[in-house]
Amino acid sequence: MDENKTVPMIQAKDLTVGYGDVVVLENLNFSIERGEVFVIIGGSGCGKSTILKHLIGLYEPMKGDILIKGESIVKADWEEKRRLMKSFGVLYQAGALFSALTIAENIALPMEEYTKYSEKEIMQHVNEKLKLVGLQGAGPKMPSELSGGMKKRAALARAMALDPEILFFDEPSTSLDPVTAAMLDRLILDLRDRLGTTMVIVTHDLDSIYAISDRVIMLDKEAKTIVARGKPSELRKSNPPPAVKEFLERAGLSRKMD
Amino acid sequence: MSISLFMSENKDKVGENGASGKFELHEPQIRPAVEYVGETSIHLWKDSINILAIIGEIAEAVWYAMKNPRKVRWRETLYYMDVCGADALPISCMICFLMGLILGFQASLQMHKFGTDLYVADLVGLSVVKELGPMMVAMICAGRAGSAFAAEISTMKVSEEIDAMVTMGFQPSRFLIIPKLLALVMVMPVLTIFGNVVGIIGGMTVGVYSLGIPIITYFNRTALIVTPRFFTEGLIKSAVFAVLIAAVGCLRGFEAKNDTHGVGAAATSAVVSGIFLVIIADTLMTYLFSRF
Amino acid sequence: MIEANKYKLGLFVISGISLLILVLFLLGIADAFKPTVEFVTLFDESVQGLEIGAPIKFRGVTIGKVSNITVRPSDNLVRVDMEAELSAIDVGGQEKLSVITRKAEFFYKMEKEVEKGLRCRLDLAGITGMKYVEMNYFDPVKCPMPDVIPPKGVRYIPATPSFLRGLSSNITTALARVANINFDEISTELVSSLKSINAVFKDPKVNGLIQKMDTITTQLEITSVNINKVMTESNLKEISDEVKKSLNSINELSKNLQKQVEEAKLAETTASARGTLDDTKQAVKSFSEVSAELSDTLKKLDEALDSFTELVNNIDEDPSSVFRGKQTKPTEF
Repeated sequence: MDENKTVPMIQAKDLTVGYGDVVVLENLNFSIERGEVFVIIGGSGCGKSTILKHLIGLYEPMKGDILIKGESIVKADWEEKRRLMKSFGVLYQAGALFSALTIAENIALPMEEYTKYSEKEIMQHVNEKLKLVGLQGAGPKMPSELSGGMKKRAALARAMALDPEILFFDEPSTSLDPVTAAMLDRLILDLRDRLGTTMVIVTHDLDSIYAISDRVIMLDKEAKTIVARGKPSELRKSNPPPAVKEFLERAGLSRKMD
Repeated sequence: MSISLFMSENKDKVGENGASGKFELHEPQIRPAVEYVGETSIHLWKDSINILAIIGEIAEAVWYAMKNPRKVRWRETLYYMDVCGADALPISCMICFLMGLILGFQASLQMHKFGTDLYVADLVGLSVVKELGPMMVAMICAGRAGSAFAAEISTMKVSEEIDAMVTMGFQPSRFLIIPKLLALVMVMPVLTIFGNVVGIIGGMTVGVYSLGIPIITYFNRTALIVTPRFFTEGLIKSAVFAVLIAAVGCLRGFEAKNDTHGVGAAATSAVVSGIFLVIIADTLMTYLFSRF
Repeated sequence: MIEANKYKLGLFVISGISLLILVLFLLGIADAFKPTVEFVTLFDESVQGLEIGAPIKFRGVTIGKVSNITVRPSDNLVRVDMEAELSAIDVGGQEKLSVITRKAEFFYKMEKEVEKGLRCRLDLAGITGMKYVEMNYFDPVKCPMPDVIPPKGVRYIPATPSFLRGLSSNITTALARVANINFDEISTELVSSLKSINAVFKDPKVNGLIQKMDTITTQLEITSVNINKVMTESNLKEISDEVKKSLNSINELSKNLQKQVEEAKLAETTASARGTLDDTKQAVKSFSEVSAELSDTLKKLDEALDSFTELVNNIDEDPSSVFRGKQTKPTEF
């Protein structure tokens, strides 16, 4: 455990990502500490979702390495990858619940696969997770019967099924009304405080950025790299490059209008 | 291994999109035409590699499933057996019956000229059992099951369910392909049995009502000509077709573009390539069976 | 919820499998387990059209199929291996006996039947040129055991030339022989022989001799009638005298005869007659040579006609056999 404290939770080294021959982002270097809420921001198409998929080991980078708790997920074979993946949960943009299974079955699936819990124990855990995200009694429903916000919460419950050390969020507040989005933000902070989970969030929702982030990195489409990093409030106060300023100010304007 | 296969495929698609913008075919120039041929050849080559890769992956998944039968998602398998098998029975029987009827009718017109009416039984029996039964059932299953598999998997891809599956530590091939493949391999030969019998009955209907061959004569002739070997050959063909249809359906689903249009394209492509592969495989197997 | 309708699925699978079993049963999968007997034959002709799997028929009843066709390089004969179902041949209601016994019984009977004239023969199955092997009885004299070395280790049934081959070869030889006959020579020799014979009979001396011989015979007859009269019981006493008298008169008669014969110069006549007869003999001899040839030819012609009659009979019995053949072999697509 002591060793884990010193090693950053996630570390990207000279990471270059892209599709085919097209480079999207080049030479990224950043690290994410244990218990941190790390936010990746940037305009549309800058590759922030792409970088997230690289972090969770879905895509193979063109160059560089990604270390999860000091172990490379890039060079890992399937079994090692599987072991690493067990330690994190991912909340996808649209929830990505298996539409063929009920909510309860969705949440139970990772437990069936990885734990030796009996069916009764699994049901107990499922209900616990559902309660955590405020979806008591939704277990027997099919994903299609739930609203967008409920789906997202159910997906969060599934992401947390194995009590992961890291939670990845891909644009959690997209397609949510402000109330639900705020509730999700509170939930994230609450989880971090209670369980010490490391959170990696990709978003362009400024409210969330200011409300929950410990540290942000901003990616830019043109520069193909990180154009700013630090606490969002500090970032705004310091003299950021124009693109960063624009990104952070536009929301500021709208807020002033309130 | 599986992840990289599917994901790198995804990347290729995006790259191709960027490249294909260059083509403007309204100018009658040789260069674009040549480039188009080149592009198509590369695509075809990649496609063949992908099909081989997915067959390899399926083989691995099947091997894993045989070693760990308890890990197979039997509930899904049964579901697909029901949907692709039992539900396809009426349409398969109907098409095979009509096929036998048409074949018998066409044959009777020609055979009657030579006074070889009874040979209608040979023609219908052999063509249905060796070729048309397995083939018709394969066509129906390519249309019903192959497209459904492709649409299902591509939809799952669009909604990131596949990604979720991978990050939850499930191999999509084991999780998604095996139940579909197993189900189709188990039900298509059964459908073919029905199709064969019904097809022969179709030919018999023509023989008995149009040519006036006594039903028992027609039956005996068919039983004499159609040997258990031929019947089994047809069923083996059918099982191979099932593997191809399921595999290509899943492959097209996995390589679909990440949008709603991609789902439709994947379903169409699954049917077209499914039928194409079935015919190629049929040619090969017909040749092989004639050798041994 | 992904859940199969298990009742429907079960019904589907069960009915499918039972249908399969039924179909395989109807298609005769049981045949694969029936005991068979193997035997071979050797054909001294092309087996074009005969294929592995072609039926073996015993007087039209399918009893088995061809299992292999090979060429024997030592004498270029075509070896055809055949497989007959034991159950297709009733060897005297011995179904309960073991297969080995039944096989032995079958081969024992088969040998006897071969002596009686059981032969294998190629036959056309239809206009497509497909052939099958027909087993039937042929006249052992007309179709003797072929002069070939039977293969070792297997039962051998001799073959006889196929009906078409027999027909064509017979016609060819017959025509060749007919063409060989020297009709000119035969007719000239015949004419000259007949002329010589005529000349002999026209010779007046021979004619007179024959007339005189006639008279002598009549007299002899009269004499014997007289003798008969003399031999009655009442004249027994006079017999000895009469005998003497008669003998005397016979003596006289014979003297007369001698004289007459001498007068007729019989010696000369017989010499010329002998010459004529020699000529005739020679003519007859050459004629008999020709006629032997002719009869041989006619025999061949007769055989050809036999075959032809058989063909006509076949066609008469079953006209469509010209198209379909007597029985058909499974046509393979």
